[in-house]
Amino acid sequence: MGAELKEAILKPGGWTMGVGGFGEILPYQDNRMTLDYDNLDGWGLPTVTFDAEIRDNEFKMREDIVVQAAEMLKKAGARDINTHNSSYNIGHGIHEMGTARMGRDPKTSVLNGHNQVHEVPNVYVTDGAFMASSSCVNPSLTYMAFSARAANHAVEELKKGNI
Amino acid sequence: MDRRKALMQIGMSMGYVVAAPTFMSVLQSCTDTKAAAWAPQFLDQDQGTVLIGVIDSILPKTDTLSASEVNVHVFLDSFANEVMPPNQQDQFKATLDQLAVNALESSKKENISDLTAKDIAPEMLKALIHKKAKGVPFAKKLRDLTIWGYKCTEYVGEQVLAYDSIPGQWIACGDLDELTGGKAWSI
Repeated sequence: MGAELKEAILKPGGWTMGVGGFGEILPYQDNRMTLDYDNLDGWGLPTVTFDAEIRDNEFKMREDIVVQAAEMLKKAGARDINTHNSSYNIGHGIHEMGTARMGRDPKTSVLNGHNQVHEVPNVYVTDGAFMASSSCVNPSLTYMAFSARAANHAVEELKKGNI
Repeated sequence: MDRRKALMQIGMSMGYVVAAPTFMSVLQSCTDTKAAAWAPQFLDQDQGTVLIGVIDSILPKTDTLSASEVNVHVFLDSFANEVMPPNQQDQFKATLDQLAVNALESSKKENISDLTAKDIAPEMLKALIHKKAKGVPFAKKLRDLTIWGYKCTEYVGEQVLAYDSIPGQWIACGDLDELTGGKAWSI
C-alpha cells in the first residue's frame, strides 16, 4: 500500500498468451445413448445415459496439438513456452454431436435428409443430434442453417397436407 | 455443474465491472463533496472517517490525486449499500470498526473524528500483512476495491492512465514508453 502501490497499479503488469486446440471426435458406431427408466427426472421422464469415450485417434490428435501449438508459438517468437494436455470427458467440449443421426435408411438412422424423424414425420430434430460428428469449428451456425432448412421443409409439407 | 447458476454468476461479476464506471460518473458530477461534509449512506459517520483514512493510506496523494480526492470513499459506501451481499456488508463495517479501535489505541487519540490517514495507515498495513490479524476480515478486499474504484474514475481513466477515446488501432509490436509513456491502458 501507499505511494509505491499507487505507482505500480498504473503500470502494465506481466502478460501471457495461450493457444488451445480443437479437434474432431470420430463418430464411432458403437457409441450409444440409452434411456434409463429406473432413474426418472423431475418430470417423470427417463434420464439419458451416454456410453461413449475418446479413443486412440483422439488421444494421438491431442498429443499432436500440443506439439504443433508449441512449435507455432516458438516460430512466432514466444519464450518460456509451457504445454499441457489436460484430461477430457465427453461433454466437456459442449459441441458434442450425435444420438439421432441423419441418413437414408430408417434401420441405421433416426432422421432423414430434412432433419425429420423417419418414423414420426411431424417431428423435426434440429440441434446437434443429427450430425454424427463435426469439424473442429463452432457448429452453431450450421445448426441454424439446418434449422432454417428443416423449418422451410416443414412448412412445405404442411401446405401439401403431408404432415 | 449447474450451467444456469454458473452463467448467472458470470453475469453478476460482469455487472460489477460494468456498474463501477456508471457509479463513478454519477458521483463525479458532485465534485463539491468534501470529506468533512460527506454524509455516508451505508456507513455511520465514524466508519466514514476511517474509510477515508484507509483509502488514502492505500492510495495517498502523490503527483496524482489521492483516493479520497476522487471520491473513492463515496463510491465504496454506495457500492456497499447497493451491491454487496449482507455478509460482505457486515465484514466491511466490522473491519472499519476494528481499524478504528486499533488506530485510537496506537495514536492515543480519543475521538475517531480526529483520526487521520497517518494514524490509520500502520493499522491497515498490519491488517494486510499479518495473516492472523483479528477482526479485519475485509482488509484485502477493501484494498482491492479501493484500487478498482480509483482506476474506474474519469480522472484516472482519462488523465492518469493512457487513454484513447476511440480505441481500435492495432500496433503489434512497439515500445511501451513511446506508445503510452510507460503507463497501463485505461480500462
